[in-house]
Amino acid sequence: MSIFKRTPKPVDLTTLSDAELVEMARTEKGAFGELYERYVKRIYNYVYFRTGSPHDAEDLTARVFTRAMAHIGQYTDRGLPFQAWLYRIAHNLTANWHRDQGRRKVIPLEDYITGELMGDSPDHLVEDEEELEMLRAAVRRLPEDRQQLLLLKFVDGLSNTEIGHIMDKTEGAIKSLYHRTLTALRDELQGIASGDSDDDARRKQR
Amino acid sequence: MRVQTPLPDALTAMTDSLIHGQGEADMRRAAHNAPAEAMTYAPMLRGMARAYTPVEPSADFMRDLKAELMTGKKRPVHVKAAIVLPRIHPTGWAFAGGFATLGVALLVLRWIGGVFAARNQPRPVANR
Repeated sequence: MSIFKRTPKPVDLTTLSDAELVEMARTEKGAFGELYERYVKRIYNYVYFRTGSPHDAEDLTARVFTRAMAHIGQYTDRGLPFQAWLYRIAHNLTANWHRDQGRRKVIPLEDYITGELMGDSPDHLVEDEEELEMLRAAVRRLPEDRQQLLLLKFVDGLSNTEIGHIMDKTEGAIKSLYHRTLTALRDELQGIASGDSDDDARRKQR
Repeated sequence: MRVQTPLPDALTAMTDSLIHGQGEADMRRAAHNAPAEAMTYAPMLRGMARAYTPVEPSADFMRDLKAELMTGKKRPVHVKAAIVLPRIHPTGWAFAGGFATLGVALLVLRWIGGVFAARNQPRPVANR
């Protein structure tokens, strides 16, 4: 019989997997805090580039984590990793935000007519912010699932498998969608460069 | 005979190596066995990588939100106001300003009217 009462050794949350943290988070807020630390920047970035506003990104990020914490008890890992679940919440809230806004900022294509994005020599590298904004504007005109795919790829640096979990598609389907998306984007940019009308560019995109 | 990497595979490999690798050199290496067409996407991929460079949320925001989640206490009013106020459309501000000015003008007019009315009231005649 031990005469000394042993205090349990504190668990180092940073060493635990997402699945273990989710289990703990059902009863212990500290575990959710660790999940928050792991994903807050990624979710913020995803929402920021979907909304284009830092204030809305903060508001929506807060809502994502508040909702996740409230529903963590209902989350079950049936092949859907926690990360994918969190992104789905972010995606749904952002989609609602776009619906509530009821409008999308439409930037006239003629403001951005340029061919530099399509060149291959170093002289033709995308140089200034105006051209990058043209590219972002072209991405904003893509269908929502394609925008989501590009952001998950470029902003969050996720693999096709991880993106597949979030978008509920196979890895092969994501690869194919990514190819089609880049082709549509390239065609749109070529259209802008060659002076196509806005309607023509949109028709090509479809 | 060299087996070519299909274009969709090459584009994924080029993007992943551009984002996670050493950049340009890795991307070109990834496109090595790909159809020549793959390199026509390269400038756009470079542009995308630059256009979507991750941003850093403010430290205050991250700290306040974590505190809110852990303690259940809501964020202070001034923090929420900082989020809500910039969203109000300029027309909304113009209307609010107009109504506020009108309200103040009416109050001033009422006060002036009250002063004049008091001055013009007949004075009680003193008892002789």
